[in-house]
Amino acid sequence: MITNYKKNNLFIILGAFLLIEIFSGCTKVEKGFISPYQQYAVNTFTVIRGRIASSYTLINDGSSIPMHIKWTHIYDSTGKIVDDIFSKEYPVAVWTAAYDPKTDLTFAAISAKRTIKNLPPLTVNEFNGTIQANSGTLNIPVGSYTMDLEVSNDAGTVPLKKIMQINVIDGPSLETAPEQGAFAAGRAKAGTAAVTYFYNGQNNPFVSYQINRYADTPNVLVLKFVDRNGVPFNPKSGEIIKRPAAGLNPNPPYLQNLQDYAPDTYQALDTALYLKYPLVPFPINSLGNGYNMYYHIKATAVQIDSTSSWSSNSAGVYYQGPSDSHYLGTYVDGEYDYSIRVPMRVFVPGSYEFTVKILNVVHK
Amino acid sequence: MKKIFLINLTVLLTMVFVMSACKKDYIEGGIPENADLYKDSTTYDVLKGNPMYDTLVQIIDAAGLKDIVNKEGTTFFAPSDHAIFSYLNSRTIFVQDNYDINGHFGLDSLKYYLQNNVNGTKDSLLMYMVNKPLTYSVLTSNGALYPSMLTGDTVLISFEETTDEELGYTNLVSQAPHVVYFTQLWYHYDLGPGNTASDVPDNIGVRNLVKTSGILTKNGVLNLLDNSNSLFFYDTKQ
Repeated sequence: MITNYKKNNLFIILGAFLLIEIFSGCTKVEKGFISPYQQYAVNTFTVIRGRIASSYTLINDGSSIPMHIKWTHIYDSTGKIVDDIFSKEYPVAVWTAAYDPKTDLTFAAISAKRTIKNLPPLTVNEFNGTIQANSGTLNIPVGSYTMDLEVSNDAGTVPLKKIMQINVIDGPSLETAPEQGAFAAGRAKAGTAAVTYFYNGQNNPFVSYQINRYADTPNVLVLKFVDRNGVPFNPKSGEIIKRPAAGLNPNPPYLQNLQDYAPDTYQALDTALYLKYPLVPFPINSLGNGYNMYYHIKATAVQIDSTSSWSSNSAGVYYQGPSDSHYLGTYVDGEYDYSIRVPMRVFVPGSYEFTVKILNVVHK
Repeated sequence: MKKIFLINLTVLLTMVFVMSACKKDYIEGGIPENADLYKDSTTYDVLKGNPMYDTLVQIIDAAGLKDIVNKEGTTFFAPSDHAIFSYLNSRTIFVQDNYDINGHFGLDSLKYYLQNNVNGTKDSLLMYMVNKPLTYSVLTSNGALYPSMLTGDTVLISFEETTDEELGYTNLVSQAPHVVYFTQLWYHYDLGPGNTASDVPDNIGVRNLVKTSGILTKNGVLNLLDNSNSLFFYDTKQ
């Protein structure tokens, strides 16, 4: 009896399986899904020429992964197809290995992990649709462009027409005031730390500057301090010194300066501070308090004008020297060091000469 | 019949168990301290045994004040190493601002000042000492004035109720916690009903919380000040 009962059960189970197999075999399951309504969360992407930038990812609206995304056409503002200028490849520095902040501390260590590769100025990440801009965008005319994408996965292929607007604009390749802060100019009793500012804020009337990007390669920064007559101060002979941070055993021991940002390539030359930098932005991360370089010009090298207080200023107005209404005379010889703070950060690779002209001093 | 009895018994036991589980004793906070932990060590040795005070021990040595710290029947309000660091840091900034951008006023400078009693630095350490054993039984909520061992200096010591939640107060406790305050008086202060220790204005004196109070040592009472002030209450005199 019992054996029979078991046998019956077995038949029923087998039968059930058979039925399931047959029915499920009848409904065809589609392989994957691809949505025609994919889009970017923000459908404009602004690229400052020469700078690294990434757009938002493409929202795939439930489409099956993996997806394969590529751009098909790019149009300029008149609607003309300009695929050619976006297909051309330019040399761009790229990583070849993972960056390790603990060991990759020098120009040599970082450079060893980077190589030059020819890349188009804009690339679309194949898997998530992020549009990435590199320094090759320097070669693209400023303007507004629209991009077509083609997305495919196991379920098929869909075109996404005019899915992203790309605005290529010009911006400073080396940012200083006002983007990265403000110039400050002050005086400190010779050899001491306490600074009294002549002016600390935007539109500093005592500082005019010039940035000259004189070559695409190599990555070099030359920072030059000159007096109002254009005579450079000499960092090599110690006319320009970095400023110790205040207090007992401060960390870091000095206020931000180029030497601390590029310890192995920094050189104090006769007329300028010089360094090579491995990648942009430079500095890539702050050593504290934004991106400012702090220096003192020693009292022995500088004659400083005494001026009446200048609390605010408008753009384009500069101190005129002895003919200026703020001019009161000059300080006693050797009484004060000149203190200067220069905001700066490089965003586009290349060779720069950054000249900071200090208008209320004369080199001795 | 037997079965029913058994069931009843089980139900009864379960009820008793459940009920008794509900009734809990009130929780008493904290762990009882051993008040006699340091009774065989001198104040100096207690400090020496705690790394938070190793710099203080160095400056007591430099000042040659070990015997006074260990004097029978005294109370010492010990500033921590943090207080000494912030003093040295402030002095360093003063030196850098006024004399030399690379200058330092480090521990060696302080020791030199103490050894030679420059500007009365050695004497200043005496502001932390009272020539009486100030146990809790002596202290009052409004505070009382005591001459410190520094000539002409007066300190105000109080044992106050606090409603600061960071010091353990909540509105659920039946009695607010009490803490000891050390107040360095720079100028004369009249204690009275409206002028208690907690009312001392900044331009008269500086209040410093005692983070661990009433440690009974072989020779007296040791109180440990919190880190809110620099050594010698530097830069607080107005």
